Amino acid sequence: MIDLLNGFATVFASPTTLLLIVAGAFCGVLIGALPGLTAAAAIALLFPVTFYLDPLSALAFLYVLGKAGRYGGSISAILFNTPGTAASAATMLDGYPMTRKGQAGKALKISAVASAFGDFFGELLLIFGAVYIATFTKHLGPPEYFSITMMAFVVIGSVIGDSITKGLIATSAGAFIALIGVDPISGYPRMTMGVAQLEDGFSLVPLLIGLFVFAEILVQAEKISLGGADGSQIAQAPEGMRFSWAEFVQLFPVLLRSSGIGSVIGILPGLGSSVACFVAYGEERRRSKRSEDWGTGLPEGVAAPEAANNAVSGPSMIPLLTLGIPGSTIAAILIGVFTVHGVQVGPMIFDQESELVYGLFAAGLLGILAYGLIGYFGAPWVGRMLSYLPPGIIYPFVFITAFSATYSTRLSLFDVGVALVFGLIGYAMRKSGFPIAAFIIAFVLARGAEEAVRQSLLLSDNGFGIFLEHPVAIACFAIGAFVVIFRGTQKLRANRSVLKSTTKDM
Amino acid sequence: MPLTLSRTTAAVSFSVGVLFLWMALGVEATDDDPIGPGKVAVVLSISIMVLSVFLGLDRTTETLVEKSVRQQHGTSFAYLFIAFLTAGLICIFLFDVLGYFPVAFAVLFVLLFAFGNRHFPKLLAMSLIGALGYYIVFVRVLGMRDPRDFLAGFF
Repeated sequence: MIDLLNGFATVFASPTTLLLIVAGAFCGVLIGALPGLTAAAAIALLFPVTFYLDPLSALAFLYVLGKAGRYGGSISAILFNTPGTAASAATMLDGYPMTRKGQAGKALKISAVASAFGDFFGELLLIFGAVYIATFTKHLGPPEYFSITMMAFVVIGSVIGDSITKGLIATSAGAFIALIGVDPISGYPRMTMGVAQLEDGFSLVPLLIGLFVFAEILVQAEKISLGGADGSQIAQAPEGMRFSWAEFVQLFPVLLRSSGIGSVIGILPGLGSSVACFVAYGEERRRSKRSEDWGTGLPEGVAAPEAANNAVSGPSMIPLLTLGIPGSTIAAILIGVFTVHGVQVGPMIFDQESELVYGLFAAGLLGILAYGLIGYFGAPWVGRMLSYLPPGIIYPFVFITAFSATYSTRLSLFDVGVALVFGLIGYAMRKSGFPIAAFIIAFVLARGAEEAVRQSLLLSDNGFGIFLEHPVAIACFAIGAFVVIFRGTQKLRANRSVLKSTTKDM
Repeated sequence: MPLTLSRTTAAVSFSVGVLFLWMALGVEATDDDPIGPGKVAVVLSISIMVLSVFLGLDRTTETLVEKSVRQQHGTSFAYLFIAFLTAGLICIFLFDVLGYFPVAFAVLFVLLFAFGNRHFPKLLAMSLIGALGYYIVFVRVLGMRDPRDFLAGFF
């Protein structure tokens, strides 16, 4: 508790950090509200801007940006029936019907309150849970680290997306791309194909901007060529704007349960907000006495997914801070931010960078307050602004922003070329169902995992038998195998029933 | 075997695995390292190839793909795609020659036009004002390098 108060003191002592927290909240809400641009894309675009900042300000800005971006997606989901991010897809189900009933203002306020509630719940879990878990993970060595990374690869590859095979291919490809460059142990370049700029390997920022931003521009271009999104009028009637204290009290149990669901899902690597929002929506609908009315514009239908999707944010940082394993795409990008600022993530961070970590926790709590207030009072204005800006104007400006952000990272046009190539690759991956998140997480973790296995074998008298001498390693391999087998069996059963129905149709 | 989207995807994925394997086999081994710098890359590329075979043989995925509604690209997407590539090539090949402001203007003009903004005065104004705004933010405020900086005398 004292450490957290010191964290607040650190943040309040720096006006730059405070300003950046508010800026992160505002930019996150705005960018998250743009259809197609995810919180991850927002962080990728603004990551280069933070190179000139101190570590706490940079991390606080991007961390709050990610939180606010998760919330921002609900604005276009509610107003335009188009989720700004995948995490808001469930919010659309009751949010847009509320808009059609003239209750858009109320829906936006419920969304802001629910998001802030869920995020706050998850953040408290992070603050008190991460420190406790780190006391155990401090003692892990290379064999454990390698096995945990393998488990993360296999679990994330199997869980993200519809196809386990495609998930594992994307994971393997991301890991391979990460290995290109100078080998950290021998010091010789490998797989660079004679390209001098590849000796340092692929930089994270161009990869992120390519896969998340340039690819999204192509996806949006395709949507525009097929026909635009439906616009919507924001409610002007006072009844449609009000969200009373009595209504909040009525929704409180929903918020609490959904925040719990989101937090549990957030700790598990690979699942993320887009799973949490649907699980919470489904669970609340199942429990509801008027489940047949869900989908017609119920406040619970907005509150449940919004609380859950934002409750993911804090707990997804737990595996990052305690093990160095990102639990989500945003956490994977934040590893890059930590690295750029010379901070090593893992359990030792609580001892070596205590001031930074607790400052980040404090920034997270303040950021939740900031985007909650911006959303509660400003969401209708954001929505109105979006309705005046057609995608045909937004995306050319997103392109030039992405180019500028990519170039400014290392002042390299090679990076711009890499970003454009990965934009095409990302578009192809989206169209063919390969999960980009699995690719990115594997890219971030692969070098560390390779180093861990080579160190383990150097330490071992027994070759690969060293992994059988460590119970944590055995447990992680077993969990990874179990998840793949479980998911594989689930998918086989689901596919068999589809095949049967296809045969019947014929 | 008829060619389907899923089999094409598997074939492309398998080809990528072959390319990766060729790259990985070119890495020289070292004597004092049990695995060496290339083995992990070899394992990953072989994994991609094997998984791609499974993907291609998966009849259920093929059925699901054939059952799903396929979007047809309009011809306008081809123009947007070409505009995207053109904008990218302008950025890469003309940046050092022309500098930030002209490139930003050209990219905005090409993309705004391709994305359906046909009112010429408005198009010109948006491109000019947008490019100027980006120049001020990225070059003047954030200090990004501009190889030509034609507007330096005005700021």
